[in-house]
Amino acid sequence: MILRILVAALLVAVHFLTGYGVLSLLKVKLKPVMHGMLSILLGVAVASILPFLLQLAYIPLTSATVFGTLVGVMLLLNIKVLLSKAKPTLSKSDFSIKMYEWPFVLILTFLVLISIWRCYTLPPTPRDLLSGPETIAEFAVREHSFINSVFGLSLESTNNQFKPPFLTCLQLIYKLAGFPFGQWWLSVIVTSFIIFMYNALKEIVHPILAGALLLFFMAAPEMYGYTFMALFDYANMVFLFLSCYFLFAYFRDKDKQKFYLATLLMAFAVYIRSETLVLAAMLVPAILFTQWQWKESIKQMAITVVIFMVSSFLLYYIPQTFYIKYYLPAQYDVSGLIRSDIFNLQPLWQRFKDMNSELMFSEYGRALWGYIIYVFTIFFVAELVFFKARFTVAARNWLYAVLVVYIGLPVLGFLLPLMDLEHTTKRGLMKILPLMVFYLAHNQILQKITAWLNTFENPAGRVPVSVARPKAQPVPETKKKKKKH
Amino acid sequence: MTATTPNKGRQRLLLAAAVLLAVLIYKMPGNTFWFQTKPFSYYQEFKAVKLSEMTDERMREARYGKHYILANMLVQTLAKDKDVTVLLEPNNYYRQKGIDMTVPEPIVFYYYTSGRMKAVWTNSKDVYKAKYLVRITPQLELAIVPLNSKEDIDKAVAEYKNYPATL
Repeated sequence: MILRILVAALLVAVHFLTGYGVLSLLKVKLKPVMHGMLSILLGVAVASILPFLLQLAYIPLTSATVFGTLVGVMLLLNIKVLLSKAKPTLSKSDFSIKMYEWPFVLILTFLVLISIWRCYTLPPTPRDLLSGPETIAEFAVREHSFINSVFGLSLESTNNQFKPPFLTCLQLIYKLAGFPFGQWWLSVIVTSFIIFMYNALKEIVHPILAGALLLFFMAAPEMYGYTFMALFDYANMVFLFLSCYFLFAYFRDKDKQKFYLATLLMAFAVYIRSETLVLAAMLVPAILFTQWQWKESIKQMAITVVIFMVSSFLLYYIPQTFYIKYYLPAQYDVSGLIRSDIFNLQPLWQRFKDMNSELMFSEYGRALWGYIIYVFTIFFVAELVFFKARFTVAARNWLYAVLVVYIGLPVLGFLLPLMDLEHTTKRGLMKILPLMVFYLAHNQILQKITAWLNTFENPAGRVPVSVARPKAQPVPETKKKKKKH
Repeated sequence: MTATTPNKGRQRLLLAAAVLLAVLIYKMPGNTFWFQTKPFSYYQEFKAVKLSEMTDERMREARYGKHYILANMLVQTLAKDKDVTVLLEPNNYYRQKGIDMTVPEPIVFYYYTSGRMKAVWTNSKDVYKAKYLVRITPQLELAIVPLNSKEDIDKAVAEYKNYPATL
């Protein structure tokens, strides 16, 4: 047990340093806690690609090659950090928690610890995992290849062997590290994400409201289940959310490094669940609209969109088309999965209606997602009524992201009939929850409560550092002209 | 922007407000039910479990249940045979006959047995590789029927033709 904890700590350290290197290369700096958590998340994402790259090069997947590559890539990404004389500085205040934060912090910690415990002790159970990625990873440990004896079995009952290699790679790494059930990487993602979210929310709303919003988010029963049952959807939600977070930070700060980070995070989201490519495309109008407001040239707008979409497309194409076609012994006709009668829109309306009536606004919907969707709806309507729909720019951005998922899921279900309502669309709805939470944080009613709480806490009128809004970092005019993509 | 000296009295009031808000969220009917049936229940499980008893094999048996136990029972029973493939009855057959049983799909069966045995369904292209048919009676008794020829397999498949092999 102690050995496993040590190994786990070592793996987290490797993830952290890998992600830290990525952030250093992209020159993105955040508050220390958020920077650390984002580093870990990026590190896990990079790790989830490396065994796949080894497989593409037909390099046997052994402990030596897999961990050697992990460490090698970690070092390569940190060359700039190692050569740099600047050392990261931390202060006590970076980790300080105020007295009134403790109730929510303790409840959230309890929920996360229980989740970690279950993730560690229970074997993986979701059918989509067992009938594909998990079995491939299990036999890759013995046979040192993802193309192993599993493909010699009768596979008529499943197409999960063709799912993206994200889970297979992470399961392989953690199994090779001595975790028989693998899935402990999920706890790493969940913990880092919750800490990141809490700190990001604290930058926008008062910490009490941040805690309350996060508790509504964590108390979504269906989603909580997926914090200890490894599958694609939780990680996909995390990276889609992070991509939106940095895309909107780019819209706010006009800092192209954040755009590149958003692009990378979206590519990881697509790598985890290939159909996210459609959601990425649905974010393009927001990018174009913002750049049009900035009076960018058509050429510049085109370059931005191409960068955003091509990286996602590559992480869709390589695992889902190239790998399946040229590496796997069994073939998978993706085109056969697309609806043929796309001009008959009745199934689209039906899916949209069913998603709303069955999965969102119903007793079953409440059992799946707790109260977060209702809280979102109430505050959204209240802002429409009391503020005459005059949303802040940030709120509009998050509402747009909510709309992308809200419209995108039925569209995906329509285009790909295999994406059924009961399983795929249901799990896909997880993606909308953090987006709703961040709209809520920008809701003007909660902003007014935040202002009132801040004044109450500091009658002198000074804003405490922990709730200070992040400053926009406008790029100097001279720099702006040079900083074309 | 400057850090302020915290006003302890007001922070205590905010602490009371935070506790009240947390209790209010907890007391929302769906949340109370969820906390009690999931996280608190999981915590009770956590307290009750002894680390020494929590072997990987036990956790698999507890989590995968009948599927896992059946697959490994077959491995033990047919331990002397090498490279065994078994033909499993369709789950639709169990449903229609009211038999409280389901069988895993071939890939999951292979996973459960750690690659020591393969299974096929009646609709599998590899059905002729089967050496035994696994029958389960309504009393959940297990029978392993040898399949010695192609005719035996055809006969077994024909017996289940009205029961499509699905999950």
